[in-house]
Amino acid sequence: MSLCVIGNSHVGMLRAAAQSGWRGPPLVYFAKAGGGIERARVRGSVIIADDPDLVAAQRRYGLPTEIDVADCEAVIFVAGTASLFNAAQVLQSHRLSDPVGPGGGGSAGAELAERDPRQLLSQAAFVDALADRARAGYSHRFATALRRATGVPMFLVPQPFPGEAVLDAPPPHGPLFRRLRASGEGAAVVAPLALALERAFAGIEGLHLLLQPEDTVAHGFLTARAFTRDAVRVNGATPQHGGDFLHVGAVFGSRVLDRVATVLNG
Amino acid sequence: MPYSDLPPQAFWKLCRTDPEFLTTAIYRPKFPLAPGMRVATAGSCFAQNVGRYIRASELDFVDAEPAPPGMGQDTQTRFGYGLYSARYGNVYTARQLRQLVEDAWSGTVHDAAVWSNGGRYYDGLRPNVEPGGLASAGEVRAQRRDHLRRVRRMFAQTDVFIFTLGLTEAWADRESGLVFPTAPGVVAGRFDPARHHFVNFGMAETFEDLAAALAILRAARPGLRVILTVSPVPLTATASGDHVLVATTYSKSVLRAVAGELAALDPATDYFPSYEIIAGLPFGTRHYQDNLRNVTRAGVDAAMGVFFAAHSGLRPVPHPVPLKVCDCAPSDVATEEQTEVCEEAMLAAFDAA
Repeated sequence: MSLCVIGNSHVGMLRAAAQSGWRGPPLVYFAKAGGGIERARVRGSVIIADDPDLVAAQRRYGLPTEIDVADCEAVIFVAGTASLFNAAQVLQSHRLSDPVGPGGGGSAGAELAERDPRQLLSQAAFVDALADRARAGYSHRFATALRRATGVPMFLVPQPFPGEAVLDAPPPHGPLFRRLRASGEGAAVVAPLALALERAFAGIEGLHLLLQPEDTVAHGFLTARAFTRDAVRVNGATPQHGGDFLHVGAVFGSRVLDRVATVLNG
Repeated sequence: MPYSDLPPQAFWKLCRTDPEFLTTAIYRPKFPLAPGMRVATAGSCFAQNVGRYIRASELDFVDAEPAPPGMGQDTQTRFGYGLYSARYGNVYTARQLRQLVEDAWSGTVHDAAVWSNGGRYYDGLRPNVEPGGLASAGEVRAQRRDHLRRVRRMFAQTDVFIFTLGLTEAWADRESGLVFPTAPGVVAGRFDPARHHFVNFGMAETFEDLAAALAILRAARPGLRVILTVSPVPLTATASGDHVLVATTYSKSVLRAVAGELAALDPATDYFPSYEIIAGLPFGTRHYQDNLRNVTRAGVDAAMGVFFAAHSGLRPVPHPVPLKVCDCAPSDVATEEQTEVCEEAMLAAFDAA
């Protein structure tokens, strides 16, 4: 039996890992880079590509245009949920008001807070906003729909945090993420983001949320360079372009597959 | 003869000949509304309907405290986003409006309005906007300061302010005189009979409060136009000692009279008769749900239809999306449940049953 991997360009890390000495079950992919995977359809326990772009993408790599996940040992959803980018987007217009958080009003200092034009936002509202984002993504939709038809174990691998290289990126990302690092807000959103994901997927029985391991994180909210150096495209073989700060590679992917195997074997 | 040249709508008998009681002629705006005018809303929970229609219209709905990106409609409603032009929650009484405006202009944050419950802290002046409360009293104060700044900014960019008067009854803090949108203990906080007391505002107080609030707003924004309405929603419960019907009649009478008098005295203040269109005797109970309290969608449509039809510069507004959005089937969404966020309705939980 195989592991069915459903997702966008971030699927590349698992493909790369599978191609670098993975000894577990074979992986079958249902993936498309750059958007389009969300247009897949679910009928019963079968996920179907009937969008022409998605069909073309699957065929380009010799992949099936439909997969019955009930025949798989597990399904791994990759990305397609709330990400640190969503959290960062919120922090452009809003600021967390919880004074205990690193980005909160207390630690930022009252004077600084007075000058900050952003609207205050409670932790609870922040978490719920991110949970709504998570529910709106394709992973939640597909997992919910497939769970109605099958009890196959499910894993969710959220999009990795942006790579450290984002700090050197041109505007808008570079300045934004440098600001998030300097203010401590970047690190402060990791826990609410994790809570939002847990909350959004809590109702899907048998779904394991594989949050990003702490030892892969730099500056409290970015993916350490060691895991982005080998970043690959969706095919798992072609390296990402030099300016990429979104993707990781086989080293990170292997960590994910090992955790999947641990759960399945446990 | 003084009555001989009057139009048909001036005569009850002629109105009776029309199935809609000539409501097409019930509202003659004092000033026209035009596309792009910036409109802010506040008031009792019925005013949430007004806001939805304004948003769906060619008018520019002022939203001084928008929801964070990605927050779903249900969550927005739960946290008080998008219900009104800022997150002040329901402003039932004229005194609440006055307090809000005075605090916004003075930057005052009242300690008496910081409530706590089980280790969580609430803004007693808008206890519904953070349903789970906040982590500390300091956070409540910080949020309130931020809110007041935005309320002030909101009025600075508003052309027309629509305020829906809802109640005359309120609960107040003896020492500070603050009035709350709901009795302490209903949504959050603790009721302390030594500290909290019931008030039922009369004509003079209501007039004075509303006039004082509008005076502050006009001083800051001289061209501000105001449209007053009265909520047709009866009281859920009264603490006045009277029968709830008597209390409702009193409350609505005071509010209606004050709105009328202010509109009569001020050329830049108008009255829109949503109360009459929905609660008026000619319409019986047709605009109410079975509980004779919540207004049906058709009732809201009728009132807002009259409003937009009277403003010839604006296109009619199709029925806007209801406030409550859920994952259920469309047929379930169309039920006539209460879609407004209304602390006052929570008082029903305290009935004798």
